[in-house]
Amino acid sequence: MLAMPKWVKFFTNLMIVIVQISILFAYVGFLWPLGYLYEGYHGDVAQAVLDSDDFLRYSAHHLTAGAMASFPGWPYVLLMAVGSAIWIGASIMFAKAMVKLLNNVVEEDYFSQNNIAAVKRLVVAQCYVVIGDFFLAGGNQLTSSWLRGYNNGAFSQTWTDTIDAIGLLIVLKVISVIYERAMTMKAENDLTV
Amino acid sequence: MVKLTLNVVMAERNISSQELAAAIDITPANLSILKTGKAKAIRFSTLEKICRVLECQPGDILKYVADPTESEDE
Repeated sequence: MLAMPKWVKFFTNLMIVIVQISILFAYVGFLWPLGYLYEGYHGDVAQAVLDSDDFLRYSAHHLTAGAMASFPGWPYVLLMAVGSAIWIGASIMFAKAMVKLLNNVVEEDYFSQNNIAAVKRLVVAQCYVVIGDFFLAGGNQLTSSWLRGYNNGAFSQTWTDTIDAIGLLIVLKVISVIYERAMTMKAENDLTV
Repeated sequence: MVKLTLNVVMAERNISSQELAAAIDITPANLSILKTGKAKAIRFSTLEKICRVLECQPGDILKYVADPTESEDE
């Protein structure tokens, strides 16, 4: 079997370190959904959204007091809190599976049951990302429809991002099926005398 | 399912696993896969070598046995 070039090994190891650090930050990110709930608890969600630095208004639209008053604060807060919590959890799951997969690649263990499990975990994690995106896109749709602006900061997912995530999910599922088939073929080849 | 009766023929010819593995040029590990029935397939070239060394026909080392689980499904 061909040995992995040293530079590929180096960059793969570097990537493992970066992903592991990002996992640590992602755990801290669980505070974010709590922030949304805090916002909802304190009331006047619409004003809080408008005051946020990440919220950019469409210049041509005038915001009425009626729109501000009728803004569905709690649905927005719940959609964003649930969506961001699912999204962070899914990202951690995805990153951990990725670290496992990259570690096996560095050890030149390409065909193993561990790798199949890791690839399947990537698919499951991406399913959660799609669910999280769906909630977040719903929440951001509320601000877009009522407050005539858009979120330009964290968790700014829109319906387009949800469709993109579904696309990635399909690609990952196809890779998972092909990889599993390759494993079966290799097992059969190993047991052909 | 097809079963390998290599053990029986080897015993009749009084040949050890190591001797057979060396004679047909395969590793003892691969011969063990054959003997224990773990093999998924056997190459014609391997079968030919086994038959030549053991002076037998493919039918002497391969036997078809009806799978009871398959007949239940039918």
